[in-house]
Amino acid sequence: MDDEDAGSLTGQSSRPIEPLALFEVLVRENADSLTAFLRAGVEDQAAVDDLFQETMLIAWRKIGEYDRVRPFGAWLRGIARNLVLAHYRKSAREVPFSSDQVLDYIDRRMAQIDRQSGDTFDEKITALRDCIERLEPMYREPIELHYGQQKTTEWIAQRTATTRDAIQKRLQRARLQLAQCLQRKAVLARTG
Amino acid sequence: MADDIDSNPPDIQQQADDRFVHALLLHMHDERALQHREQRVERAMLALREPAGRALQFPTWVRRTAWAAAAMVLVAACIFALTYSPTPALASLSDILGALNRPGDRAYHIAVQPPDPPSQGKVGLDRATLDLRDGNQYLLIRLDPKGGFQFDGYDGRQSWRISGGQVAETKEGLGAGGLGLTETMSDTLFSDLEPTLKQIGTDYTIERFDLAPLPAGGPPLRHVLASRKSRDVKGPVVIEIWADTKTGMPRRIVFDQAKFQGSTQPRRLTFDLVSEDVMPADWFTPAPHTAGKIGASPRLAR
Repeated sequence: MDDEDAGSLTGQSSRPIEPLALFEVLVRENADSLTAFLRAGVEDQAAVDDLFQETMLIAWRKIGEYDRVRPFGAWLRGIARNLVLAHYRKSAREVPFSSDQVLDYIDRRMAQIDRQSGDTFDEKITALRDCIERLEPMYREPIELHYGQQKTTEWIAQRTATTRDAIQKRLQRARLQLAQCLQRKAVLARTG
Repeated sequence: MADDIDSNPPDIQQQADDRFVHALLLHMHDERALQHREQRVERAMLALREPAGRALQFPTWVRRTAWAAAAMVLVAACIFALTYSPTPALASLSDILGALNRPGDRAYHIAVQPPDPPSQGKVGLDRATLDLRDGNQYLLIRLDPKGGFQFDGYDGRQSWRISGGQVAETKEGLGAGGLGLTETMSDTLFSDLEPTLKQIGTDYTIERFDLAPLPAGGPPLRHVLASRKSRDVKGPVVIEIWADTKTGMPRRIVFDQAKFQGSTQPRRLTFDLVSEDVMPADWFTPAPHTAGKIGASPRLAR
């Protein structure tokens, strides 16, 4: 992309503004939600970092195609979505979701978070903390151990004298309860 | 538009909400979320700002599919880092690592301590051999626990993999590996090698910059030992390099207390230069390594 194209991002191409600097501001603003989107699609943290970078490189290359009416974060996620799918095609890794629709749905969930009040991504998901507090202990504890203390499901299973499968199921149920809680709090749109 | 969410089948909704909340929880509990975000953004912006850096930078999938490419990224990254922090020690480091890019053949043995338990049955990196030519061709030969070797190579034009004596995949350009990657090859250390080394100038302390022999003895070599300044820095705790005093060619590169993905135990990775002999002209192509051509991996087999 040349500077003239990039200048169209600002709508004021004659103004001496560095397009890349503006791009960086937008990237920084949307970095957390993009990372969360990638983490939802890809388990491997290294792959998340790589896909993040690839998303940025493609976004900059295609910045002339960006429709300023659309939220920038959603546009980035659109690029990231395709990269996630390509990542699975390329690596032949097992895709952890059954359909591309899952990614599209996650994208819409992210858009709902984007619309929350708050300056930062953390502020926008602050309701999640309260939802965790409201979980029954049998669900809250594995969440705190697994995510808060980075304990493996194996470790939690041994500690609680149960099986790894049982812990994985409990974590899954806990996450779905948290999603329902976020719906009740109107952070997320309600589902049927 | 966001709220046409009911149009999805319930199982799709559940899967998506499960993964969505999983991602939010990961973010919420990432104590270094801010630092990680800055690293990601900086890394991306650096790639966009620096045409020279971009030219040196291997694409993501190269770093993830080829160990040799990772080694070359190491070279590139170090040289690149020096443009930012040209201290004498770092300049010497650049010289040392730049030697790997010079024309010629060289072979490194790789040791991982502690290695993967044999019971895991993975194609690991311990006891692998990494052959390099001219800084742009490579051959990684790894022991396959099921028997034989696995070869991953790039001849400057085509990348390929041989597994079980058969050509499993070839691809124009870098990145053959539509095949699943081993866990080892996607280890954080290697995929993040470039940013790690870019941080040497800022996040690592050069502890030693002197002449020292290898621990086992021998003539004095150029020696650089850099240690991580803080636990917040992602990367091995210690990076240590011994190099030939005249040519700058690394004789040994060590990443100590490096954290591998999928393992909580820090490990030590050592590359030892075992040969600078000229290899056969077609050594970096699949032909010499296919079934029926035993002796394809002489250094490893010896």
